[in-house]
Amino acid sequence: MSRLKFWSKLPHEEAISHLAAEYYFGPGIQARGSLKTDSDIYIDCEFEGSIETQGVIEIDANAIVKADLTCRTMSLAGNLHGNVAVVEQASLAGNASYTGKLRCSNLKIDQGARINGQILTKDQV
Amino acid sequence: MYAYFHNTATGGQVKTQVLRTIRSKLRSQHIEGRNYEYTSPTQLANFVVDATTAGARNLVAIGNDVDFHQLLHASKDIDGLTFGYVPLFKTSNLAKLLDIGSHKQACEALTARKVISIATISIDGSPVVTQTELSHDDNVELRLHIDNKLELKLEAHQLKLQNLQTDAHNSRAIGLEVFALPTNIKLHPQKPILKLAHSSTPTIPCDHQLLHLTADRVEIRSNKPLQFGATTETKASYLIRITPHPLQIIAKKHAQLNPS
Repeated sequence: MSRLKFWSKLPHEEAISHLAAEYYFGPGIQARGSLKTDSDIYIDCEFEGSIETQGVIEIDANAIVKADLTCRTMSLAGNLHGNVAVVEQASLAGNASYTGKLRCSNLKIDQGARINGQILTKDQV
Repeated sequence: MYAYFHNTATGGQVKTQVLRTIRSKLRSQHIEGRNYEYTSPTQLANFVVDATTAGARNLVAIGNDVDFHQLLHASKDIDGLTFGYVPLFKTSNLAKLLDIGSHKQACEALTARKVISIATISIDGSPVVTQTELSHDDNVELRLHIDNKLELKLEAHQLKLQNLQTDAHNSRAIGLEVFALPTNIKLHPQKPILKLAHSSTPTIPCDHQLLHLTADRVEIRSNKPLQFGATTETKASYLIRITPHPLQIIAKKHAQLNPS
C-alpha cells in the first residue's frame, strides 16, 4: 500500500511576509528559548535565545532580538545582538542595528545601518 | 453494538432522516443500535457510560464537529472505542478529512465499517481530531511552554489549536495560532500575533501545503480561566500533547489515510 506524502514543500520565496511565514512572532510577545526548524521565521517582538533554520529569518523594525541565529538568508530591520551564520545572503536595512559576529556568503547593507562587531563574508567563512 | 448520540439543539428534519437511515441500515445488518438524545455535555457523558456499560464499542456523533469532539471528550477515559461521525452540515472539516461529504455518505460509511487510525492531539487528555480553541472574553496574560524549549509570554484572548497530522505514525503536529484583541500595540483582531504552523485547512491532505513541525507538547498557563471550545470547562492551565495512541475512526477513505 502506498503511503501518501501529505506535507511537501513549496520552493522558498526570498521575500517572506508575516502571513506566509510558518513561524510568526508578532508584537507584544516575549519569547525566550531555542527554536530549531526548517521553516521561515518572522520576528516582530522580543526574542532571546537561539534559532536554527534552513529557511529565512526576517526581523522586523520593531523587534529586539538577543539570539544566535543560523539560517539560509536573513533580513534584519530591527535590533539584533548575537552571532549569526547565514548560508546565503544577509541583508541589513537602513534602520537595522547589529552587534555580534556575522558570517555570510553575501552581504547587503543599506545606508544608515549600524554594525558593531565582525563580519566574515564568503572567502573568510 | 452501535450507540449514536445527537444534541437536541442541532438537526431538524435532516437529523430525523439520518436517524431513520441509521436505524434501517443497522437493522438490515442485524446490528444492535442505541439512540441517545442529549441536552448537555454532562448528560452526554452519562449516556456514554450507559452505552459502553451495555456493550457499545462504536460511538457515533450526529451533528457538527463540536458535537463530535464533545463525544470524544465524554469518552476520553474509556479504551477500545471506535468513533463514527454523521455530519448534518456541509461545512465540516472533519467530514472532509474522513471523506464523508454528506450525511448520506456518512451513513454508508458507518455500516461499511472502514476504520482508520488518526493521530490526534489532546487537550488535558481530551482528543482533538481537527481543531479547537481556548478563549477568554478579554486579553489575558499567557505563558506558553513549547516542547520545554521555547517559553512565550504574551497577552491574548484566543488560541486556536490544530491537529496538523492525520498520519498515525507521525508526531510533532500541534498547530498553534494565537489572537489578541487590539490594545495599545497596533494589532489586527483577525490576524494572529503568534503562528506556529501554516493555517489553511491543515487537516486535509494536500500537496501544496507547507506544514512542518510545530510541537509535541505545549503547556499553557493563563492568569484567568480559558474556555475549552468543545466543552463548557474553564481552566487556567492546559496541557496539549500528541496522544500516544491513534484514534480509531470510521471513514470512507480507508486506503488513503491509513499508512502502510
